Amino acid sequence: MTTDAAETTAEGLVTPPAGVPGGSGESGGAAEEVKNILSEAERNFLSGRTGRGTETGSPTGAGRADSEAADAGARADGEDGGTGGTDGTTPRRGRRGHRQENPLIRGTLIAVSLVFAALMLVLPLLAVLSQAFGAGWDNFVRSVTDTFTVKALKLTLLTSLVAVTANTLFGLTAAWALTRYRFRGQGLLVTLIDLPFAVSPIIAGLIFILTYGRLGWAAPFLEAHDLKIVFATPGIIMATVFVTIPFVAREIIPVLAARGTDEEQAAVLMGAGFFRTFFQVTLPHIRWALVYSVILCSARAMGEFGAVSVVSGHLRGKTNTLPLHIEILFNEHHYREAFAVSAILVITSIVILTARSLVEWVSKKEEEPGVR
Amino acid sequence: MAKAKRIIPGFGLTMGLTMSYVGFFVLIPMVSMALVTADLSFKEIVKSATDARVLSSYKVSFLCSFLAAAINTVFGTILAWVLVRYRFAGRRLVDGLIELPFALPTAVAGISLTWLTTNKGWIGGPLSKLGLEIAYTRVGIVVALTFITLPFMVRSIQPVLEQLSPDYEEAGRTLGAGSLTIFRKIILPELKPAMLTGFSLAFARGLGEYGSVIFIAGNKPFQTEIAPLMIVTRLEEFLYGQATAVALFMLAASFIIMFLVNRLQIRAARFVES
Amino acid sequence: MSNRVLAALAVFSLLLISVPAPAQEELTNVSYDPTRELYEAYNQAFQKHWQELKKADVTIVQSHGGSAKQARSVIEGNEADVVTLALASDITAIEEAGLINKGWQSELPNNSSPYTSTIVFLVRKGNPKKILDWGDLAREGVGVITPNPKTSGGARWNYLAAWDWADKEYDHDETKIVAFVKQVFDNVLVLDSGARGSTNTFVQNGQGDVLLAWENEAYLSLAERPGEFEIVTPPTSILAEPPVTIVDAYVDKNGTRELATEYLKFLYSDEGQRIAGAHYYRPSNPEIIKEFADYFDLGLKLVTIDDPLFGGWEVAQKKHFGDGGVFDQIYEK
Repeated sequence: MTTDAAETTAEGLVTPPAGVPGGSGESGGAAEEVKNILSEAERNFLSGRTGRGTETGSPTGAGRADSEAADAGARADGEDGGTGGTDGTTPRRGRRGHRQENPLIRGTLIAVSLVFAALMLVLPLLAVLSQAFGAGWDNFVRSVTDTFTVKALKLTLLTSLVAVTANTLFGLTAAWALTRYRFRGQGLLVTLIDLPFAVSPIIAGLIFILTYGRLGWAAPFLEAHDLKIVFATPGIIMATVFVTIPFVAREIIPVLAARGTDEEQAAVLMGAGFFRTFFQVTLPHIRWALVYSVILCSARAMGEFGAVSVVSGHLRGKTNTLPLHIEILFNEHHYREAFAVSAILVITSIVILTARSLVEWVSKKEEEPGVR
Repeated sequence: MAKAKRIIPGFGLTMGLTMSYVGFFVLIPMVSMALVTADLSFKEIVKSATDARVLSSYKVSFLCSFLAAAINTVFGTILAWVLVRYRFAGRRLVDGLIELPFALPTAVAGISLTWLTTNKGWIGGPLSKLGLEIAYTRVGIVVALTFITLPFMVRSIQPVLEQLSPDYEEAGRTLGAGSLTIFRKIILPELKPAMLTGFSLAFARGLGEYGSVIFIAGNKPFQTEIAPLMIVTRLEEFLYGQATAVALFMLAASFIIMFLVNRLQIRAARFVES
Repeated sequence: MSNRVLAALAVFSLLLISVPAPAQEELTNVSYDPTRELYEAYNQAFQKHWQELKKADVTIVQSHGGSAKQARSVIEGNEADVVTLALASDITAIEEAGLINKGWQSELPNNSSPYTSTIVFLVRKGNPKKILDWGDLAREGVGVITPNPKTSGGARWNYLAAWDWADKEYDHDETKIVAFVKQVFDNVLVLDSGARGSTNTFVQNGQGDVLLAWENEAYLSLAERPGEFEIVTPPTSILAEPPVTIVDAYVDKNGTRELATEYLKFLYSDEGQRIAGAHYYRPSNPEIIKEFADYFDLGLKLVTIDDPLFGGWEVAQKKHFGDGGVFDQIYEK
């Protein structure tokens, strides 16, 4: 490796895809300090929010009180600047102590996003549920306890488990390799990891057929060893892995890139090995990004239809995943049943996501006392 | 002397694993597809990828994906902002619903959205009285793609916002900046890379989406026929080479877009630094 | 002594374990979309039949999907013992891939089609637009729902049936026939990719005035939403022959030829024919179809794909649905 190489790759480096906030601009020893401040500010910010719900006298306000008070006037200034006047800063101080921006803007933004979420997320959800339960509870129970539904559910769970585990390990390794070292072709590697997002699900299935199917070039070898990949569980898993490859890597890379390598370098200099550095220094920082991405990845893995549909062969009770089973029910004029089974996927994902939200909330609450 | 800088161990291990994984799951299969296309002569490839009907389907796909990604850039950003910065009733529920489009099999999404937006549906009914048709028009395609790609946008922006300290904005206010100025000068530059990522992911995914769109599109040739449908049409005729030719063209297009967006991103990141 | 007994027991039990239980035979039937209930009922009957015949159990694995897509999966390595698809041309594609021996269509009676179907009109209750014959589909203000002939096997029958009517109406004048078919497709509101998608558009989403559908699918829609629709059988239509055959390469590999042959032959038995009839497929046995005369219009004039007008699947496919064929031209003009 020459310095030249290092330079070229520095350009092509990942360029913190999902944005490297503030920190990337800082440099030298100051960076570490800034980061500490940032994370503390972030926690304060969160606790401040929790307090805000109860308006004044929040128990969490203490640590933040002086800065709040100091800022309050300035904030009022800022707002007034926005609306035209600069008068009467002092009298407002107390009243606006907890507010940071124009409540009108805040209200409008919340309203806009609620309407958008209602139209794009809640209504489709209600549509699915109303179709699912439209024929009554008994019909719902019968549909979801059908033998083939249960078999499809098992296959979906197995597929998602394997695919998500594989992609999580991969995502961590890839993120580590891409943010901890500089090497030639870094940009290309990131693009390759991104590629499955840009591939139509139909094509995603087809490429496995054209590789491992009877027409594929790997067919003679597989035939000779009596291995079956497509139209069997391995193919379904591979297609699911392909479709969900970018999820974990994509979420972890920016976070790791933003953190820089100072802490790891320090740990290594103090004698920690690779695994110890990873588990004790790196992992704690990417915990939430990891949780997010694993959930995103699981949701997509469970719901994947297009690619799996191509490699499955739709063998009932053998290679039908839940989404395929839903399609079959629909095609067989079992409209209600199809939606009832869809409801399993929807309800599962909502339960997982709400659980995540709660875990996040609880653990962040626990962290707070330590901060103060 | 880049090597000397590699204090952190594990380069061989992580690089080896990463490369073989990408090779096995992405490179090898993609090469197989190119091999199938290579069965055709160059002329045939160009012909099947640029047929008048195929060209019109590209237009529909690119236009609708672009609009859907643009809509998500605006509303997804607002949604992410509201979810991170504000606390209000129902926040956790909305946050929990963001991944719904991923968990719902695309066909179910398509059927449900169509059901909602035809002139007999909950949304489409009132709108059709005003003369606005959603299902079976390009608007319908945009709606389906907006739904399918919404999580990409929100989840790209959310982590960045969570790390973005409100201190900067407060500093801005201290200096007397208005809300709009603060957004333009302080928040937007920080969010830009994430917004670009979200946009390019949403756009690329929208180009390839098939399962949900075929239900809502109406699939009228030269009007609402999308490019992935052309691939399926070719496959139904057992023409693998022609199908993969269209697929390769689509892939190249989304690749270039992703690449350009990546370049923009690099600039945006530099802008933040300077 | 006791050691010996133990040893003997051990050997005996080992023998017990190693003697293979009578192998459960397995048969994979790759079929198209609307046949699930037909084969669900038929498979049970066949399992009983096989038990009586061979004193052996058989498991039947079913696969359903779009006809061409299913054919492709078999070509790509989905190891079906038998295929029961919507169109002969889909099976011919498998034959061309070298998996089915030539001449398969004459191996079983009736062009290897144990049951047939036809295309009918599904209209809204009371038939408010008075749609009675193919000519009505081209009338202004009639909303027609049909899947896309390029992606759906069933839709090809719809298109050809309309063509057949126009051929007689306009006395073989092809310009007029094409103009008529174009007019019908101008009336098409939604061109779904599959038959089921179209049914959904018409039934659940309330689009259009008439759905061109397989007879058996139309009856399923009646059952799905009773009292909302009516079936109109036009005076002429097309005889759709969904063929069945053995996939030679795979039965030889799996050693299931005898089982697969019997599976298809049993479809032609009186019992098999009655099961088809009960699921709204027209039994090919002329005696048995009479038992279902209350819902099959037996006076219907049916043209076949082998009629000189179409000249068999291969010719028709190329002329009408191939790349740049008549159907493409209809939309390009």
